[in-house]
Amino acid sequence: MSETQQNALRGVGTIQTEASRSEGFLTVPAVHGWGWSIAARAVFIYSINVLLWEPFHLDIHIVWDLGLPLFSRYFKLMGPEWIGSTYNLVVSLLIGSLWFMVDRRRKHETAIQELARLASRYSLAGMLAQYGLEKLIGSQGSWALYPSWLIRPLGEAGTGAAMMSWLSFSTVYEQFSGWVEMGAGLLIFARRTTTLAAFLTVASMLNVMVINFSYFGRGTVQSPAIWLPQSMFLIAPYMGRFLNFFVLNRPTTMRVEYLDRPFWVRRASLFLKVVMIPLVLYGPLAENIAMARIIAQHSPLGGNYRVESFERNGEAEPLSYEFPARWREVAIDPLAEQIVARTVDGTDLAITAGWPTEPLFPTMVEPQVSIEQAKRLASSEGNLHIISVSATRRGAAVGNLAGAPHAVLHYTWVGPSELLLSGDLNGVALKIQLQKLPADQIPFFLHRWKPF
Amino acid sequence: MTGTSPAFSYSVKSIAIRAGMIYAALACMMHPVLFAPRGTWFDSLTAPVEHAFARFIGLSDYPLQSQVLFRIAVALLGAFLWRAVDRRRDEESMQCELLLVELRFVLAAAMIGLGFTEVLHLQMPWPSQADWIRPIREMPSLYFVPVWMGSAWLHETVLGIIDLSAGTMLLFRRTTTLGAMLAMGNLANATAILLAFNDIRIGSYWPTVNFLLFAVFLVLADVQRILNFFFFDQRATEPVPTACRWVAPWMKRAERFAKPAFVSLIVIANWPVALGAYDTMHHAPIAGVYTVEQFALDRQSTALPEEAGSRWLLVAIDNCRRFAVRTVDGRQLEASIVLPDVGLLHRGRECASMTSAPTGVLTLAAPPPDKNAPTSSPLEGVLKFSVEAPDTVGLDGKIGKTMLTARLHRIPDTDFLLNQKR
Repeated sequence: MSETQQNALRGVGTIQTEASRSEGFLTVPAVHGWGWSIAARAVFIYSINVLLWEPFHLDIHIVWDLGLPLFSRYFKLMGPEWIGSTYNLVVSLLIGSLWFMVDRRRKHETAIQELARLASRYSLAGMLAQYGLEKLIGSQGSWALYPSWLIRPLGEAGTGAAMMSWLSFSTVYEQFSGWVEMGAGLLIFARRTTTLAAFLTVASMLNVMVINFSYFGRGTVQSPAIWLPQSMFLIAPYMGRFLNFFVLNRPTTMRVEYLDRPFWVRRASLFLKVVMIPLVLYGPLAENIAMARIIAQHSPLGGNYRVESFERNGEAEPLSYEFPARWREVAIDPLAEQIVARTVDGTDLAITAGWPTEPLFPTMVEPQVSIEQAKRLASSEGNLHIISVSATRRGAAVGNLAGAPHAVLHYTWVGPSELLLSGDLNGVALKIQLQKLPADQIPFFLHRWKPF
Repeated sequence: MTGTSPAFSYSVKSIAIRAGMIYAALACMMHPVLFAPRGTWFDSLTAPVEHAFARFIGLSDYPLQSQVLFRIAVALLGAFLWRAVDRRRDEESMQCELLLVELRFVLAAAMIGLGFTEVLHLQMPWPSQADWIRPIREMPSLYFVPVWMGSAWLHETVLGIIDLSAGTMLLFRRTTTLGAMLAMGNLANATAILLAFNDIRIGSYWPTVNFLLFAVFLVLADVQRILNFFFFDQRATEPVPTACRWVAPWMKRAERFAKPAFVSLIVIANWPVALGAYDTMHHAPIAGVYTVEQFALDRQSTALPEEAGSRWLLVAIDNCRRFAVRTVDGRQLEASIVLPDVGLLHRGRECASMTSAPTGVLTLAAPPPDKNAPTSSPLEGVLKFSVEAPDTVGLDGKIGKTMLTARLHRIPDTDFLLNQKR
């Protein structure tokens, strides 16, 4: 008697006949019990909800979110940022439980398990591609390396900006961290490599949760946490085997069940695979290519400047303790959308210029707008249209600024690295001579290698 | 006896195994975290030879690169000599087993040492007040990494727990594979950071690359089982044998004592780390960042126009290690605070005691040269401090040849965004 037949008699492992191999039976982890049945149904619905939005852009939230106002009134266990994701999980569990109760015969449990695994894999693939491509192409965190952030002392910059600067500092690290996630995203498409990909996904999401909590706070933990249900569902059947293999050092086997697919299902699933994989990858790819195009745009104005001379209402102010509001240094972001002027007494004047979007995330803007802005700012002189001005000292608002809208700062290049800024800001006439600091002498960037 | 090698036959595998064992031993004994901090007898023995070797190959300016080449050269030379004198030439499988055991324990010592310093927040401590006042762009990239990572207690603790877990698992044969995989992940991340954030010619990544290669080797030794687990879930996997197949009786006897002895060595090597962590729990009451309300040099409070930029704006004092000043013209001045006759493991307590008094003296010296540190103008002098009110400190003394008096007003730590999640 062969070992395989002996195992079969003991109920361990499976018998794989030549017939089942040739007819394309799918193997599905053998899990039983009402808990698994409800979990499979709930994860299937949870994953489909994700897939309908991305990549299909079908917004079913009008129906899905009907119970959200009631839920948010009573669910106060965690912060408001957790309400949406917890609601999705609860609704999925409710619908899954209802389905379980209605489906009394439960003749297709194996098929439902497989469908849940399939939906989980493809929804996770989209997420992993987004996370990975953000680093590989999209330069995630590059805003934290803009002059307006690097001018700030460490104590005032905050841990979040510091952490994001780490991600995009170097191509080496971007590629390393990006391929960990993108690699898992590609591996999860294949059944053979799904287990490895699922373990990598859990490890990756837990890592992101720890980092987000450490540097940004509790509110940002929910973003990676919403992917844990699917990834835990994929690895749960293997946990016993994992423990036996890696910890208890026992022989391991895996119980599987065979799923017979009719011919038309096999052909349809192949067709779906050919269609779904590009569809899932297309959205993250297009979005991150657009982001990369935006981030690649620079104008000669972007950089760090020392204030050589400063006039306020025609009166020159020397660099001295007696003139605390005198500008000492200026940082201008690559497309001049954010200008930070630091005064002698440590006040930061944050001037938003150019376009009325969130200045921290220029990726909200179409690439073409960024390209046109870069062209416009390449001239030897021009105007910066001020959207808003705020003053902070160590993060706290200072003073009362008014009259910012419709203000214009005129810039003129008077030398290769000498810039003159003049204009009216908050009813004060300013004339400022700036000297640009050479980028290759900024200590922070001395060993930076980022060819793309 | 079959398979007896001719007198001078050196199989590549045999040399490679012996070289690997010697290299691993060198990596262990010469690593600052493990058993050979600077100044020990082993380091004093090897350092002159290492420096001579570096000069010989023209890499004196890159000591970390020359150190790796030195170890490879010593390992290969040692392997050839060992092979020449070793009479038991038909026991390559035994040599391989010994190599795996050695790699396990060396890697375990490294991961436990590293994890311990991370969990106790000595590896990447909370940023010094001297760094709170410095713009990020002035910090060299490799200097910046431990500074910002030190600002996240949870992240460093989790990294430390993973390293400690990996190290502990490596001590037991049944959990070696998982420990090696965890070590591989963390070390790969650390290597990528060191490659990305520093001049690649310096070779600051070599210490982690060494241990990463050991972890990779341990994983590769079990790769067939790992592949079966992840990719062929219908194949049954067999457990690894936990007992080593020693040939020589002395090896069997030594095994009973070697593991407890090695673990004891790890504990002893990490004991100063624990003492150091206890010492860092003591904080100087005057540590903080202050605005300079009044400032006079040589009794003149009004500076000449050309000296107006040198007026002190902010002063940062940490736990008796660094004293930093930010001037009106945006320069940072720095000094090391000198505590004479105080050992490294008592510094925190001595500092806390000294600065708890209403008056005291801060002796400032130029900071030691450090290529990775940000550029600062050095300060040297002696300043008497007096705590005039809970948030007000007076300074009076000499910086260089210039008399200096100042009144400082403390900025609450929570005013800094960095501290708001602490």
